[in-house]
Amino acid sequence: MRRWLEVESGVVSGEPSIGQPGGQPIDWWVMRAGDLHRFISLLKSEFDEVIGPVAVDGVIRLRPIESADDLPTGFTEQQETGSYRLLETGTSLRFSYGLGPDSLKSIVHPPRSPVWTMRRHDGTLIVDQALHGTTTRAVIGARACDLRALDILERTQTGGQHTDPAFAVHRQGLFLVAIDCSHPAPTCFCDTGGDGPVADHGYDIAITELDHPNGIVYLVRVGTDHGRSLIESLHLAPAPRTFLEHRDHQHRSISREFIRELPKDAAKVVRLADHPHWNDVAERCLTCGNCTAVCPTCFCTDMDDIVGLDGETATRTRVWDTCFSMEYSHLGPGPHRTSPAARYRQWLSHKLGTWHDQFGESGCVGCGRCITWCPVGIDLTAEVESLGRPVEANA
Amino acid sequence: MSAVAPSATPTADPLLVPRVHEVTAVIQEIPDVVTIRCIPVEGALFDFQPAQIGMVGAFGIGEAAISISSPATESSFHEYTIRRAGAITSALTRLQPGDQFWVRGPFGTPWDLDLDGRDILIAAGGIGLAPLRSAVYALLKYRERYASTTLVIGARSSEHLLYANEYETWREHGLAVFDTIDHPEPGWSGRVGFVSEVVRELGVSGPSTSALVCGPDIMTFLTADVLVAGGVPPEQVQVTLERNMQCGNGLCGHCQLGPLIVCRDGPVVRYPAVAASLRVKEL
Ligand code: SF4
Ligand code: SF4
Ligand code: FES
Repeated sequence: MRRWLEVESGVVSGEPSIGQPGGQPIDWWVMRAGDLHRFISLLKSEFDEVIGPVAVDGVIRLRPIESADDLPTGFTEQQETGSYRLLETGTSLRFSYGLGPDSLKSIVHPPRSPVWTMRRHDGTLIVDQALHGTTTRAVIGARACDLRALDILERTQTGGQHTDPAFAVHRQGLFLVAIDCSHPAPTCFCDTGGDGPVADHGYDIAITELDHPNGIVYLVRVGTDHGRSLIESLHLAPAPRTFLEHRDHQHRSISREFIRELPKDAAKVVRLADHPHWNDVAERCLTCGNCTAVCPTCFCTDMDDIVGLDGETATRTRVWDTCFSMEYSHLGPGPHRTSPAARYRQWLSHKLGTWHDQFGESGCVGCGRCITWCPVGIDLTAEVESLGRPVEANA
Repeated sequence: MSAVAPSATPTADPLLVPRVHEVTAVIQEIPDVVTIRCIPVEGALFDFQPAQIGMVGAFGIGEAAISISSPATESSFHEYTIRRAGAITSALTRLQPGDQFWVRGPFGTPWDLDLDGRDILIAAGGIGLAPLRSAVYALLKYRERYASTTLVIGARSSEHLLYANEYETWREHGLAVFDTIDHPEPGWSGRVGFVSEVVRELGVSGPSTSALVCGPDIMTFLTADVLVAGGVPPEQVQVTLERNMQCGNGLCGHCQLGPLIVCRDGPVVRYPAVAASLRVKEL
């Protein structure tokens, strides 16, 4: 610990740091473990809720946290198609794992959201509309792909003619502390499918966990005035250039790790509606909808009306839905998309194809969650590749 | 992003607020199809344009997307023509005068009836006449604006011809009505054959024709193809689409048809926008 203070003071007086000395604003700060505790306490006092990564049920999830002690210190994970395993490393690293199943979607577009309660009294219907509260939340641990996914999700829910006020109010109350990925999972492909692994916009504060030979440090930068004012109130030291060089080095070594790739012609080949490969996927797909639940941009919802035991009260809840269910396309006498092939095709061709027509971009950020959490290990990058292969004339 | 500043007052989505209506009359139309006439319990009738949709709800069960079938100029009630199919429409078709239900909307794009000087052809299959009925009344109200107005309505059998008791009045007001059934039946002296075939036989299509088409997907594209083959510019063929709808306001994803979000981009679209999608099974 002492040694760092020496390093820092040496930097401030000697070699230039990126945050200029002499009263100029600082661009990069250094946090140590103790500062991280102070930082999270500060967030606790500023926001109604602080959400961060937590190791529970053998998975890293996003959950409300009380202090830095709740962070998953010394954990990492192994992910592959259809599998996720949490491992203890014995290190003091707090963010050295890839994505868990939760994204910001659960926070801004919750799985269940109340719409109304309706009472029937002497045949008269009386409606109580649910109001969406104003909770403020700081979320620690959003990754570059999560931030991009939040933008995409936001465009689907607030970018058109009509804005979902529930989404807008949840989004407005959000303060984002991003973490740069140091250990992307083998299922990730954000370098070709999104713009990760380093957060470059969309955060209030961003942190790189640096596994420095002298000990673990957190390099901090800010993206908003709000982020800056919180960080400045912690009176952290500016980051020395050597740390930033170390950070560059760490990032360069990550970008060599990506093994999956989204083919460039994805948006085109997913529109080949008659391609025989859809039937091939359908033979494996269980139509369980896991992929849509974990996907940070899948936004579909259903209106769920439930009558209370008295028979005179009905509540309506907006719940996540999946295009893999039969009910999803129900029309009059029955479902419109009955075959698993048509349902998988709807998902993939929307995500990678018609999303462009509807919202001007792809609906995929390359987070790989759908690959990890698919119980039968269906990998969209591989399916897109198969769709891109020429079909034999009489296939 | 902006600073964390949630709005001071909690909000509700205005488009998710149901307007409670009361049934004033129930008209049995054809087997399994009824028309519910209704008025809002509070406030005035909302304005709508022909082909727009109401999300019509039954207590504790849910909502179905139903086009408003009464004339848009009718100021004393709205009507919804509903076919009994699933749980929701079964509940709606059981409603009796005095019962309450709700409507959200209106949602979606209307028919474009700014077609002055053109020959108007309306083609409807089965209950597809419901979203066209308000268009019929709008066209007949300003009949002199159009060169000619023709309706081809097809049904499985004569007892499935929707609004059949109104055809005479429509004819009197200048609409040429051709009704057709799929198979010959005793006592039927009218036409037999699919809507697309009758449209072809009538020879009513040409460069000056503008068409409004509503029916099952297959009837829609067969008819549109006959029209286009007959010289109608594809852009002059308007069709309505039907998909599962949950929100009606473009947010829930359910009503997609390829690139289209039907509650937002439709239900009325120009044929070229869906010519390919309609042919893909289970899209
Ligand atoms: S489709 Fe899969 S990889 Fe792409 S954003 Fe969704 S979950 Fe992530
Ligand atoms: S692709 Fe996998 S996760 Fe998605 S529905 Fe099929 S089996 Fe479930
Ligand atoms: S009905 Fe929800 S998006 Fe169209």
